[in-house]
Amino acid sequence: MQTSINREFLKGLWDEHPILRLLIGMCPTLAVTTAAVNGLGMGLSVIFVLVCSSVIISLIRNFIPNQVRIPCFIMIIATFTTIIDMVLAAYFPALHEVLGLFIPLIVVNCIILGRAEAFACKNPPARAFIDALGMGLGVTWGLTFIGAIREIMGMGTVFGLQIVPETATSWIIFLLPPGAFFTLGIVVGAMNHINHVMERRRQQTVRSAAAGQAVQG
Amino acid sequence: MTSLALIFVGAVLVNNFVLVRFLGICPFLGVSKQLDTALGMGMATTFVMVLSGAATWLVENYILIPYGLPFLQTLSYILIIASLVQVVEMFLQKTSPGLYRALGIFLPLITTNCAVLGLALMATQQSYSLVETIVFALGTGGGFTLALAAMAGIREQMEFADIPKALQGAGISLITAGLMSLAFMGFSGLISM
Amino acid sequence: MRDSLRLVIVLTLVAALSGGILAYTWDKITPIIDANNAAALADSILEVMPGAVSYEIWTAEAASSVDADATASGTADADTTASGTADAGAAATGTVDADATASGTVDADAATSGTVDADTTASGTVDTAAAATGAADADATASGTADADATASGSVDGTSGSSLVATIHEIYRGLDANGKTAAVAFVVDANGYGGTIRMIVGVEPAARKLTQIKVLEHAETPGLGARITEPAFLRQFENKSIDDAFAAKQDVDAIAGATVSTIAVASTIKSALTEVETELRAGGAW
Repeated sequence: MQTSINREFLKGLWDEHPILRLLIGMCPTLAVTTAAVNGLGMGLSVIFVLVCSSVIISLIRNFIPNQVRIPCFIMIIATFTTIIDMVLAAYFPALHEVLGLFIPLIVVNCIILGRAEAFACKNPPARAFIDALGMGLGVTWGLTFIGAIREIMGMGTVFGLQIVPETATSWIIFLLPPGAFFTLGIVVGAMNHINHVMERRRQQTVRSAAAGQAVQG
Repeated sequence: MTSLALIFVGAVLVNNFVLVRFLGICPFLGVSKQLDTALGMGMATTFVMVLSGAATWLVENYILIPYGLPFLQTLSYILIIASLVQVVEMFLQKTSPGLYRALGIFLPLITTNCAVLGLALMATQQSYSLVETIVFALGTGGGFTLALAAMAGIREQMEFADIPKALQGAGISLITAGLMSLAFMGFSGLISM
Repeated sequence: MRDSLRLVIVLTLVAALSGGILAYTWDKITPIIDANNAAALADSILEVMPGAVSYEIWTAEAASSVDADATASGTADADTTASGTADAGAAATGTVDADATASGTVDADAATSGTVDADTTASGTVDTAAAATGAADADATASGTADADATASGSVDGTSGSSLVATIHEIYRGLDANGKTAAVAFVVDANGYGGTIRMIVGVEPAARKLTQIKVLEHAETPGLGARITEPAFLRQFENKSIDDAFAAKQDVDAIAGATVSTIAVASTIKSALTEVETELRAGGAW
């Protein structure tokens, strides 16, 4: 049981990473990652909506008739999205302005409806919570990572701290729309490559272990 | 009239929803393997965009604003779009089986297409009139179709290319989209809104 | 039949609950948002007028002699004035902050400390002339700010060849400790590259120079046009004579790769200054 809960949590961070492996929720990933802090802000907003709506959906999953499942999910998700929209406007106006249109658009982010459909409506609240938290943290690190790359390349800073000497020419293209596509494309490619290498290693160890056993036998 | 033309051209080329504003990326990557499906998806989306643009405009100006309910904006817009897609699907199934066969499979995907909700929210933000909203929706849908069709054309050619293993699929599509986006940036000096 | 009834009940229940939660949150959050915005605006207004300790809104309607432009836009305000006089009673009964009505100025400290509530904000836009005649209008300014000063001018910028429309919103009069006009500030919209650039510009009428400018909102390209918010760019407008040309690459350094944004800022300020000066002179406040 313990290990399965761990797996529920960890799958969102790597194996089933929503953005980099499942390739869903790409719009905000491309749009708001002009700086690491924006990616982080967006990621945290997604965690809030994802965790709250998953838990609520899981709690009421037995009362919702199957035919009106989707409209109910959408309404619940829209409620939490509007709440985070208002909270950001009140307490983090600067971040709210940067994220702009993409906060209300969390509602149509396939990650959230996807988790509700695939997991929360079939599992008890505790597991739905763990699953949502894992997926949300996956989204957050993905967005922050891509935001950091674009910020370093485009402005020479990360979280506003100058790390590349100011005399070095910054590549503005990374802050513009094409740079978003390039960065995400390369990060997805790199992630695939790492997984290929890991897979090959795993096979090799299995094979050498088998070979070792054969020799001993 | 000029302002309507500006809104249209601006939505198709200058602020292309997919390549400049990053809305509707999922269908852009998912449904762009073949030219004819891309065109079908583009047309179905344009259709829903025009309808939902008009519907959300009416709701915003005749219900949400008069009764002071701005906090229901997101909730009501997404419900309108979802039910509209459902109605269109049933209507097409009954009245025009040919069109339904062509567009039907794309319709359910459109509910979660953020370009449709994005369009409605953006038109509200810009406080467009009803006519302007419809023109904006047509332009946006046109731009979406253009991007999808162009991408599908390129991907059909890429079938035979020798692509590094790690970049196959999404990786190379994203980099191609980046190059297209670079090309579309050339339009940004075309008009100043 | 019973099944479909159940569907309807569940949907209605979820919708009602969602609506209720949202209405509650909205109720709680709106005052905070309004207070934040008012405090931020009050901060910016005082920031661009270093000599001022408090400020008040200056409206064309308040002035006895209104120029032709103002009347054109002012005709739309017939209603607002009417509702404004109706509110005079409200002011007298003390629903509007007493201090503010008496002096016709917003208390700077209260505004900056962020404790301003919706009422004070409304009273902050009370204009002196109106208050003197006993017609303090909380409503008029709340709804009227949008149209009251919307004397949109179609001034063409000769140097760049592109036409730029300066939309001036509010004009504020900054008062020093003795209640004398120390500076004037106005909020103006420029047509930038990515959208509207909203700025607040501080002027010292007596010295005919700018004090400071600040960008309130913009949608320029990050790394290029967005650099109009950087001190290095804004500082060149400090203490600049308002009779300068405000031409990019001549007396205003353009940001590399963002000439459009630079021109938008510089020439909008120039044309807005001319307009504000005309309007204030007509009202006898320059």
